[in-house]
Amino acid sequence: MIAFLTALVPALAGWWASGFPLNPLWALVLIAPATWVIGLALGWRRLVALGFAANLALAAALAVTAGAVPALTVISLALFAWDLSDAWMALRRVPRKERRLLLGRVALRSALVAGASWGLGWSFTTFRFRLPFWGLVGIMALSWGLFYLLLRSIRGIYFGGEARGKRSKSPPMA
Amino acid sequence: MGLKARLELVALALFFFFGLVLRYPALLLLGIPLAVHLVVGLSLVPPAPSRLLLAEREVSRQRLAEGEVLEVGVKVVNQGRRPLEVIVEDALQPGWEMVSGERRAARSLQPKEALELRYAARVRRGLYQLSEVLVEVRDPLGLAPWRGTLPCPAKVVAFPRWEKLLRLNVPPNRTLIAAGTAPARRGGEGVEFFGVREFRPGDEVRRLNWKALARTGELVVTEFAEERAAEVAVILDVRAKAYQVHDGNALLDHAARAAAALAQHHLRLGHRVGLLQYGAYLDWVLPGYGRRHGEKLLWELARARLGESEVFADLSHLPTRLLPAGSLILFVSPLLLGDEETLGRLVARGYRVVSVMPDPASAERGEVTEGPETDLALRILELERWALLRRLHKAGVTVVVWDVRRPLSPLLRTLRPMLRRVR
Repeated sequence: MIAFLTALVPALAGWWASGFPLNPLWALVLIAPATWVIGLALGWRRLVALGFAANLALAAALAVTAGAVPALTVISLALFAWDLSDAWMALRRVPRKERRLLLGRVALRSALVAGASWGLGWSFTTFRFRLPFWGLVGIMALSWGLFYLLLRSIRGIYFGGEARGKRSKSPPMA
Repeated sequence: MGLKARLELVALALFFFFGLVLRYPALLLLGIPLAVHLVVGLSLVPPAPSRLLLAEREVSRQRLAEGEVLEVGVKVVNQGRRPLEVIVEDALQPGWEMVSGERRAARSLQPKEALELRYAARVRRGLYQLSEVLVEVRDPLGLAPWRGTLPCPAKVVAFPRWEKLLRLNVPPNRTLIAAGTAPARRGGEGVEFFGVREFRPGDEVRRLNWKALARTGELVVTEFAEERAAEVAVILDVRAKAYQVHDGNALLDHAARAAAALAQHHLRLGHRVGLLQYGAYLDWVLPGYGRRHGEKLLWELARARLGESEVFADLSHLPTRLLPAGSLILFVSPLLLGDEETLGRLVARGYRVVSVMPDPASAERGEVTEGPETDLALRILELERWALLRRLHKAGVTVVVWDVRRPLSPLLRTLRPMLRRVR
């Protein structure tokens, strides 16, 4: 239920940020919580991921139409909802008592991270600075470099730091 | 890296790319929550959790009869220096039925702390290798969950639950030299009357037939049939197509019970008993005596499985070279049309063949709903079966049709007179 509500909240927040328009196209916003809820009910992680992606699209649309703060709110709420849903899917088959305990911890941690990230994003909205063309290129190159480093470090985590790739063959048996 | 982290990375890259290319700061700002989430989450991922966890398993018994309750305990210990959120699941073996306890648990394990699972399950016949336990280690934000297995081996064997057969003594056509309980076709020490002959020096005086002496005036001694061991081959049919009922494995369980009961009974009588599983493969246990051999046969019957093979689709490839001439063949099978030819050929070659047929219709009765269609199907089945039985009787094969809902022992008591008629 909590996961369902948290999935619905980003869509409602987006609608609220746009001033509750009555355009029927806004009903498309419900695609995000709908796929999310179906994914949760069936235990399909990919469908929940699709719901999250739909929320990201909604946030991007809000960033263009309603400004950065509502978009940041939607994205932080979506992250919180996804953490909770993911944990719920992993824990749904374990006994209820243990599940509630662990879900409570996940909710607390995720709320802290989502709150901090929203706060950081909001604080960046207060800055005003001009960016020359070469500065833009430099930031782009730097950000892609950082992105590459992040990917490399994640690969290390993902494969458990174990040896991979081509190995020399063992010598033939005597 | 899980799906979550990958999607967040892609979204982050897209927000940065379009924010910078379009020079739209609001899009750039959207990457901040994702970046914070990724950096915090990935910095808290535990390194190589498989090396930090150790699993141990204990089972209440390693050998038990099918249908008994087995208690299983699994302990997963965190040997690292950081707390880990661990979800443990022990997969239930096929055919097992949970009785109590939990097979899944989740907890945040502190260093040196252990998570223990304990459950009881009713086991089905089989040989089980409980080799591993499923473990998921979640990092605090679930960005790189580790799912894998930890080794914690244990071996459990559930023997078929066999009943003790009483008063079943099927005489073989030929006996071995060793002493046993089967009456041989020659005079000697024993209890069953064999015949009379003239007295020879050295014969015991107590063997003198006084009535014959009084009648004829000649010295005559009574002879008894010598009791010897016999060679017995128990053949269990494991051809999948012979067990095409709602639950073929349940019918095979019944067949394995019958095979176990027959094997144990003949071992108790002192015979040499071998076991052949005929189906997807040939599994032959050489004939032997004694309790240890009986245990070996039970192990083989515990691991009997249904299988398909083009070669062994019918009984024509029954390896008769493994079965000494004149031995007693106990064939346990629901039987198929066409099997009577091979079994009849065995009788013609001098084997004594007894077939125990676990009745598939009796096994099905509890599973299907009552109705006119069911009655008709059962009647057709019964007619087919009686046609088969008729042909088997003509071929000289003794067949016992076993209603699996009832014990086998009372049914086999009636076997002896039937055999005598055949002889």
